[in-house]
Amino acid sequence: MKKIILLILVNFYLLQFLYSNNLTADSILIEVDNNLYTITAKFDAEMNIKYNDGRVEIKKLKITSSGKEKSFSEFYYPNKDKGLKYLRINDKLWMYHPEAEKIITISGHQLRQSANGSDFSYEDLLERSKKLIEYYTPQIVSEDEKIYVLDLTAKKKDITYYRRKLWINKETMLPEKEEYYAKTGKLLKVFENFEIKKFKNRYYPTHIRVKDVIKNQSQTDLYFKELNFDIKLSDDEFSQNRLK
Amino acid sequence: MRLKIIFLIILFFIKNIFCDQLINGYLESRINIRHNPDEKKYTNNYYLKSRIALSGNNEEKSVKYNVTIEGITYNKLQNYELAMLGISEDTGKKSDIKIDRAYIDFKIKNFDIRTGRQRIAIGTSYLFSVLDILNKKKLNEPQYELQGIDAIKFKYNFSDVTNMNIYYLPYLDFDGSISVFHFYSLINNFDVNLIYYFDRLNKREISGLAIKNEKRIGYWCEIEYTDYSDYLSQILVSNKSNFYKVVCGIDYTFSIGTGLYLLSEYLYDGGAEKDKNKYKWTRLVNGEDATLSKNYFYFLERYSFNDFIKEDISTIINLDDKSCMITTQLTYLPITDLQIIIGSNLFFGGNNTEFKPIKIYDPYSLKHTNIYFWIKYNF
Repeated sequence: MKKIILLILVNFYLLQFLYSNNLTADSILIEVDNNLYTITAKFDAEMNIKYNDGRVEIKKLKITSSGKEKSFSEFYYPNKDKGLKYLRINDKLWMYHPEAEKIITISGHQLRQSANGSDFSYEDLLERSKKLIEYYTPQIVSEDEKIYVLDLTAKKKDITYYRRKLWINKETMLPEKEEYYAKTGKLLKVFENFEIKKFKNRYYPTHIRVKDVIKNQSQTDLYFKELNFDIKLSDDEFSQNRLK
Repeated sequence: MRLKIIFLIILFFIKNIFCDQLINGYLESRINIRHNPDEKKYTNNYYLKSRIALSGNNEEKSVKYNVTIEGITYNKLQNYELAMLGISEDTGKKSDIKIDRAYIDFKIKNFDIRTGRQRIAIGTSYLFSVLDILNKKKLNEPQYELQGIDAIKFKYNFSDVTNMNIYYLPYLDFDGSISVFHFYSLINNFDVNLIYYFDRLNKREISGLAIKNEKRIGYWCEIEYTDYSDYLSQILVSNKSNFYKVVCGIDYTFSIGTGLYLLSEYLYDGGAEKDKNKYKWTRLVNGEDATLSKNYFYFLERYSFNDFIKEDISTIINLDDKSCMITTQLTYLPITDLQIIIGSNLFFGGNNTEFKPIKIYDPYSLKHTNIYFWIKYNF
C-alpha cells in the first residue's frame, strides 16, 4: 500500500513538474513576444556590414511597421540605394527600385536571399515581426541565475528555421543570443541583441548583430535610432502608392 | 538658352516650397569596342553621361516633384540615342542635354495625379513585357532606365493593394492622343493587372492581362490582344489586323553558395512572321517592338560570388530562324557607390537572320560582337 501511495505521489510530482515546466516555457516565450511584438513602430536604422577582409559598408533606412502584417522601409544611404523601398503586407513583399522605376514582387524563393547585401535575409526581416509562440513549441533546456535557455521547435515543417535556441535574460525577458537551425540540425544564423533599453512597458534591443554562418563572409550590426512604439499612423502608410 | 534660364528660376522657386529636398543621380562612362567582320576592322565609341535628379516632397500639402536632367558627351559626332547604344553617326553634335523626367504628384484623399514627363511601366515580365507598350525594354539591358513619356496619370486607390490608373498622352492634338486604362489588384496572392490601350492616331486598341505569383518557384503570364482598324499603320507592324501575344515566365533561386538565380521566359508573338524573309524590320525602327519573329526563348543566370562581385549570363534565342544573342556581364563594386562592369554581346546565326542581319537592316553594325567597359558612380 505504501508503495502504491509513494508511486502515486512520485507520478503526481513528476506530472506537476512537467506541466509547470511546459507552462513556464510558454509563458517565457509569451513574455519575449510581448517585448518584441509592436502594434505600430517607426524608427531609423543603420546597418553596418563588416566583411571578413575588413571592409565596412553602411546602409541607412527608415522603417515603419504595423503588427506582424505590415511594414514599409526606405533606404536613404548610400547613394546607390537611395530611394530603394520595401513594402510588406502579410507574406507578400514588394520592392521598388528607383533606377528601374518599377515595383517588383519578391517571390518566396528570393526571400531566402540576402536583404540588400546584409546578413539578414528578406525572410528574417519578415519573421522578426511575428509572434514566436504562434509558430514554435518552446522547451526549457537549462536555466541559471540570469538566463533561461529555450529550445524552440517549429509547429509546421515548412518553416525556414525549424529550430531556434534562445538565451533569454531573466530581467528584460529578451533573448541575448539566438541560434537558428535548419531541420537537418545545421546552424544557419546567429543573432545577438545588445543595448537593451526600456520603452514604457517593454524592453527592446537597439543593437542587433547577425552572422550568416553559411555565407560566412560578413557580420551585420543593425542599430535602431529614434524608436517610437504604438504611435498613430496615417491610413496610406502601407499602401503600394508609397512605393513610387 | 532663355528657356533654360526660365527653367532654372522655376526650379529655384520650387526648391523653396518643398521641405524634403533631395539631389541624387549618377555619372557613368562606357567604352564600347565592336568588331565589324564585313569591313574587317574594330570600331570604338565612348560616352560620358551624367544624370541628376532633383526631387522634393511636401507631406503636409501631399505634393511631390521630380526633375531629372541628363547630359551626355561622346567621342564622335552623333545623336543621343545612338551614343547610348555605343555606335556613331555624324549628326553634327558632340554633346547633348535633355530633361528626362519632370513631373509633379498631387494627392487628394484616395486620388493621385501625376502630370509631366514620367516612366510608364505596367508589365510584370522581366524581358518580353508585352504590356509595356509605351516603354519597350532593351533586349540586352532590360534593367536599364527608360526614357520619360509626357503624360498625365490619374490614379484611384480602392485599397492598399487595389488601384485604377488612367494615363492620357496628349501628343500633338486629341486625335493623336493615347489613353491607357490600367487596373491592378492583389487577389489570392496573385498580382493581377488588366489593361486597355487606345491609340487614336493609329486606330489601335490593345487589351491585356498579366498575372504573377509564386509557389516555391515564381511564375507569371502576360497576354496582349491588338486590334488595328487602320490598315496603313497596321501594315508597318504586321500583316494581320488583329493578333495576340503571350509571355510566360518562371524564376527560382537555388540554395547554392550565395544563391543561384535562374529565370526563363517564352514569347509568342502572333503579329510577327516565322519566315525570316517576311520580317517587318520597321517594327524595330519605329520602336513598335523589340523583336521580329514569332517564337522566342530567354534564359538568365545570375550569381554573386560575394557581396562585391557578381556575374550575369543571358541568352535570347529566336526559335524560328535559330539565331541568338548571348550577353555576359561581370560587375565589381570596389567601393560604396562605384560599379565597374565588363560585358559583351555575342551574336550567332545564319545569314540574314534576326541576330545576324545583312547590312541594310543593321546599318550601325549593332548586331556585331562587342565588348564594353562601363564605370558608374552614384551620388
